[in-house]
Amino acid sequence: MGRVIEANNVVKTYPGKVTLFNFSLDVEDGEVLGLLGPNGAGKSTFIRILTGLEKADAGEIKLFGKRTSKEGRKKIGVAPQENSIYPLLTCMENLLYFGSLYGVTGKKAREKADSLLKELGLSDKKNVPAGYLSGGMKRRVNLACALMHEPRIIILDEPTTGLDPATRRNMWKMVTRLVRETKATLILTTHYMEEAEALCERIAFINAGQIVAEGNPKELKKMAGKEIAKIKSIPGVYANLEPQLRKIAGIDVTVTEHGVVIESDNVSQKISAITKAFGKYKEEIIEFSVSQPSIEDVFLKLTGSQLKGVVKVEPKKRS
Amino acid sequence: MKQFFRERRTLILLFAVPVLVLLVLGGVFGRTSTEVDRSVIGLCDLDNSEFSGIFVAGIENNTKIMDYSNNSNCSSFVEKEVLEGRLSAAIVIPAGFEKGITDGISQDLTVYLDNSRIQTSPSIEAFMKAAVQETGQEIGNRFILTIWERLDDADGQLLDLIEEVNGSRNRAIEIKQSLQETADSLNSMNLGIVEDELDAANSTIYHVLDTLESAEGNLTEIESEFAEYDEELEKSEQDLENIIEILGNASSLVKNAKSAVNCSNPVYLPYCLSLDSLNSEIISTNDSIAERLDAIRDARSDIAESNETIQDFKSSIEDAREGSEDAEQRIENMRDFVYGLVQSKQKALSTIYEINLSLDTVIEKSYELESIITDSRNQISEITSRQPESIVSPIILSSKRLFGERTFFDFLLPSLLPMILMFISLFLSSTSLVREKNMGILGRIAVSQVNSLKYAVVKVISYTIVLIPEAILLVLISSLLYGAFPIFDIATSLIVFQTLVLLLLAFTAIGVLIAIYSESEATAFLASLVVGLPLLFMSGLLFPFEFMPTYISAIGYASPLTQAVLTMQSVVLYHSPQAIGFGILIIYALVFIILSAISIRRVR
Repeated sequence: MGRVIEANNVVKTYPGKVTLFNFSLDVEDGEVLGLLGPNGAGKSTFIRILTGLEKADAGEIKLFGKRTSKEGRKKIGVAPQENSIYPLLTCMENLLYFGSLYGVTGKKAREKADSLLKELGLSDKKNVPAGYLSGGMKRRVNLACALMHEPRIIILDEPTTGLDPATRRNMWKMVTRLVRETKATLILTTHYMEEAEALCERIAFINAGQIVAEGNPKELKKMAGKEIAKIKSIPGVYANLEPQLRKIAGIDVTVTEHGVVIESDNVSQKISAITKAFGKYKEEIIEFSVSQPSIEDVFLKLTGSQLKGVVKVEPKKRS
Repeated sequence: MKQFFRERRTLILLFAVPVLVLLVLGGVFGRTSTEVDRSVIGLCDLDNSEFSGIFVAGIENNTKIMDYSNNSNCSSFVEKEVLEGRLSAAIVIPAGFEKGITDGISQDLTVYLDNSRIQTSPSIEAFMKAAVQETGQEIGNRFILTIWERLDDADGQLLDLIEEVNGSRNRAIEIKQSLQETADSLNSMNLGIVEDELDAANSTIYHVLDTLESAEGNLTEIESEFAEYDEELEKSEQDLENIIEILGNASSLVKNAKSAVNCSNPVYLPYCLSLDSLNSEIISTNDSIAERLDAIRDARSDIAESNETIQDFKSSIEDAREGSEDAEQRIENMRDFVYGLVQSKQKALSTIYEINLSLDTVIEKSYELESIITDSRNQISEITSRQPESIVSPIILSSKRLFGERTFFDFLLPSLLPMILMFISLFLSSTSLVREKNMGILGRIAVSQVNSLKYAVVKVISYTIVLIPEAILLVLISSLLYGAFPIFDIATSLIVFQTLVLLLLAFTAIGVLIAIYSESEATAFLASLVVGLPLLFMSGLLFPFEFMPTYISAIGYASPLTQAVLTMQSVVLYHSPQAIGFGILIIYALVFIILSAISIRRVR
C-alpha cells in the first residue's frame, strides 16, 4: 500500500472566485474515497486538476509518488457525471473507441469490452446504440468506458445521479464488485450520503475549496454524535429566533436554509422550550423530526454551519 | 464519423440542403439581366407638357407605369404609395417643367424610391437616370437645333458684315488714295516760289517806289524847270506883248503918219509905201511877234498842260506810290496768307498722315475683323455641321460582353459552391463538436491524454471526409445540370475538386475552433454565422471589392472563402487557374488546426 495521490496546498482560482484554497488530500492505493461537498465546493475542480483538464495555480499534486505526468494520468479512468458516450454508437463501439484513446485496440480491446459488458450486465446490449439504452444502462456503459484501459485510479463523478433507487443500489453493487476485482483506487464524488456511506471507506467533506472534515463514516458520525432535531417552520425568519434558541441550555443550534437543526444529548427534554421559543416569534412549526446522527447530518451540519457561521472541525489525521 | 453517419436526418439534410440551395439559387438567379420591366412605377405628371410626355414615353417603354396624374395632390399620394410598399418607385414631374427647361432653368424631377428593395431600387434608380438622360438628350437635341438655326442666321449676318467691312475698307482705301493725292497736291504746292515772287514783287514795288520817287523828283525838277520856262515865257510874252503893243503903236504911228501924209500924193506915196512897208513890216513883225507870242502862249499853255500832266503824273505817281504801298501791304498780307497756307499745308499733311495711319489701322483692322468674322463663320459652320446628338451625347459606349449572354447564375455558380460548402462545413464541424463537448466526450477524450494536435487533425480530416461526397455532388450538379464546366475536362474538374477540399479543410478547422469556444450548439451555429456571413459579404460574391473600403477589401481578399472563390472563378470562368489560392487555403487549414489544438489544450 502506498499513496497514489498526494495533493498539497493546491490553489485554484477563477475570476472573482477561489475554488480550491490550500487543498490537501492524500489517497492510499486501493482505497475507496468519497468526496462530499455542496455544489461549487471544489470537488470537480480537484478532479479536473487531477486529470489534467485544469492546471493548479499553486500547490502540488503527485500521482503514484511522482509529479503528475501524461503517463501517470493515463492510469486514471474517469466516468463523468454525464453519460459521455456516443449515443449512436453501440455499446461495444463506444467501449472500443474509448479504449483506443488509451491504446487498447484490436482483440485485446474486444475481449476487455466483452468482459466489462458482461460484468455490467450489458452483454445482450453490446450491439445496441447507447442512446437507445435506459438511464442505468447508459451509466454502466459510461462506467465501462472508463475501465477499458484497466486504470489504477477510477474516478466516478456522481455515478448514480438521476437514477432511480433500485438502479442506484444495483450500481453500487457493481461498483463494489469491480473495485474488489480490479483492486483499483476509487474516488467517488456524490451528493448521496447513503451512497458514500455504502461505498466509501473514507469520506472527505469539502466546503469552500477546503477539506473541512475527513474520516471513515463511523468516525464522522461521532462528530455529530448527538440527537438531531430538524425543525421547519413558516415564515422561517430565524434572525431573532436563533439567539432565543441559543439561550436554551444544552442544545446547539444551527440555522440552515432548510430550517433549524438542533443538536442535543436529549432533544425530547428540550422540546417544550424549543416550541415555546418558536411560538414566541410566531414561527409555525410545519415539520419536526428527531433523528440519530448520520453522515448526511454531519454534512448538513458542516456545510450548513459553514454557510451561516464558522464551524471548525479539525480533520482527523490519518495515521 | 460512425456517430455522424448514423444521424440519418442530419445526413439527409447535409446532402439535400446544399443541393436544394443550389437549385433554388439556380432558379432565382436564372435571368440574364436586372431589368426593371416587372417593377411598377407610379407617375405624377403635374406639367403634362411635350417634354414631360417625352420623359414618360421613355420610361413607359421599359416598365409598368401607374399614372396618378389625375389624382388631386398626386405627389403626396405616390410618395405614400411607395412608403406603404405598393409601388417600387414613383416619379413626380413638377408643374412648369417644360417652361423651366425652355427658360434655361434645370428642373428637379423627384423619384421616390423604395430603397428597402435593395436589389431592385438601384436598378430602378439607374433606369430613371437613364430615362432622364435620354429625355435630356432629346430636349438637348431640340435646343441645339434651335441654336443651330440661330447660328445660321448669325452666320448670314456675319457674311453681310464681311461685305460691309470690305466696302468700308475699300472706301478707306479710296479715301487714302484721295488723301495721298491731296498730300501730293499739297506737297507739289511750292509756296516758296510764291514767297519768292512776293519778295520779287515787293522788291519791284520798292523799285517802283524808288522810281516813282525819282520820277516825282524828276517831275518836280521838270516842273520847276517848266516854271522857270513859263516864267521866262511869261516874260517873253510880256515882252512880246509889249513889243506888239509898241509895234501896234508904231503901226498906229505909221498909220497915223501915213494918214497924216496923203499917200495918194505920190510924194508921200514912197513914204506911204515905205510907211506901208514899214507898217507891213511892223504888221508882219507884229504878226510874227504875235505868232511868237502865240507860240509862247502855246508853249506856256503846253507848259501848263505839261505841268498839269506832271501834276497828273505826280498825282499818278502818288497814286502809284499809294498803290505800291497798298500792293506792298497786300504782298505782306499775301505773305502772311502764304505763311498761313504753309502752316495749313503742314497741318493738312500731318492730318492726312494721321488720317492715313488711322485708315491703315482701319484697313488692317478690317482685315482682322474680316478674318475674325471668317473664323467665327468657320466656327459656326464647324459647330452647326455637327449633329446635335454628338454634342448632347458625345460619347457612345459600346460594351462587348466577352462572356456572352450568360445568366447571372452562370457567373455566380463558381462562387456559390465554396459559399455553400463553407456554411455546411462550419455548421457541421462546429455544432457536431460542440455537442460532443457538451456531452462531456471532449473532456473524456482529453482525460485520455490524447495529443491535442492529433485530435484536432483527426477531427478536421474526419469532417472533411464526411463532406467530400457533398462537394462531389455539387460539382456534378454544377457541371451536368448547369454546364459550369465540362465534367470530362479532367484538369478543370480536379482543380475544382481540390479547391473545394482545401476549402473544406480550412472551414472545418475554423468550425472546430468555434466549437471549442462555444457553450452550446446554438452558440456554435451563431458563431459560424458570425464568421461565415462577413466572409460571404467580403468575398466579392454579393458586393464587389471595388465598392468596399480598402481595408475591408484587403481583409476580404485574405479570407479563405475569397481565395476559394477566386480560384474557382479562375478555373471555371477564366480558364486560367491561380495556384496561389491553394497555398493560402492550406495555410488557413494548418493555422486553424494548430489554433484548435492549442485551444483544446487550454479550454478542456
